[in-house]
Amino acid sequence: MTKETTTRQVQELYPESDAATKRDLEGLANSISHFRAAIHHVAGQETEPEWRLDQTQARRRSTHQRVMLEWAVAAAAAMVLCAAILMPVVGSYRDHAAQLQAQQREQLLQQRAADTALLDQVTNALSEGVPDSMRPLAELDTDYASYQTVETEKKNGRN
Amino acid sequence: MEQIAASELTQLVREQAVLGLADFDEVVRLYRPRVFRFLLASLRDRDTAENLTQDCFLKAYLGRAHFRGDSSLSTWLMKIAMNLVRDHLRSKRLRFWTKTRDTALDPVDVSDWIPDGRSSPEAELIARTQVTYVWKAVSELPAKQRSVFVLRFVEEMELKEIAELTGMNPSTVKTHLYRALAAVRESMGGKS
Repeated sequence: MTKETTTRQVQELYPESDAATKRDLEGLANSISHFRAAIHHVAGQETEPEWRLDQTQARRRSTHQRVMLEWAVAAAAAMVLCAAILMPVVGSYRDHAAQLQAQQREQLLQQRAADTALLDQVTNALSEGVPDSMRPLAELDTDYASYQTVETEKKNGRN
Repeated sequence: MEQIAASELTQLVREQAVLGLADFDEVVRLYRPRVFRFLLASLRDRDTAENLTQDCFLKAYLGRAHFRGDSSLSTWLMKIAMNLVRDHLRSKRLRFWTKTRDTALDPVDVSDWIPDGRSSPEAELIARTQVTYVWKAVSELPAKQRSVFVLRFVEEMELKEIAELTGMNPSTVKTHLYRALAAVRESMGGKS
């Protein structure tokens, strides 16, 4: 392809250009034609390898295997990384859970002790013959009973 | 009469194209430079371009039964090459941990390979600088724009042919080409 062809191709994209733009585009076309020449030259320098179907297939297989291996290694690395990140989180969660459990256990024990104390108190209160609030009446009653006993004994003695 | 002649001619072209695949060594010999050039300009890596060229012909060989001759053999091969570039770029993005190979072409190396024939050392230096700028600008283009630019200006393909190859309509191809050229022009210091 000649430089003129490149210029034409470039100018096709800028149909309504003035003289200055055309000069600018010519410079651009010149650069692009150098670029094309360089690419053609680089590609032409490559020694053409012999086309062997079996070799190409073998290379493709090994590339495929390498890619699979890379993915496997990457997946393993990602798993290790996740584990490394999650371990402290799980550990701290476990610690927190254990702390919470111990706290709950302690609260339960305290509650039980309080319940036991209350029950003891109730039992003691119930086991008493006369409740505290009734004690003055009970004393009066006792006094009266003992007075009556004495009186009865006196009567009996007289008889 | 003319219609019959035209259809017979199309059939003949198809048959010739299909028969062309029978002698695969010849197909490789004829089209390898074009495929390699396109891959080299698209990927800027000699080894990758070489491997993908081989892959392109392997795919063509294995899929030769599916070639119906609707397009030219060259277009069909370039289509395979383009798909390989797309797949390669996608897998490269996904395999971000893969180290960049040292076979990547440096723009300075490319500009060193401008064929001789400049009138003066100054002209040669200017040409080298221009190639370096274009190479850098092309490498920074989005994949579609780069492909269209390379197909048009390196592979000298017609817009219709590029449209057929890329599956875009000709006006979309023209838009991509215009944008690519504007980006290259801007990087060269011109107006976009």
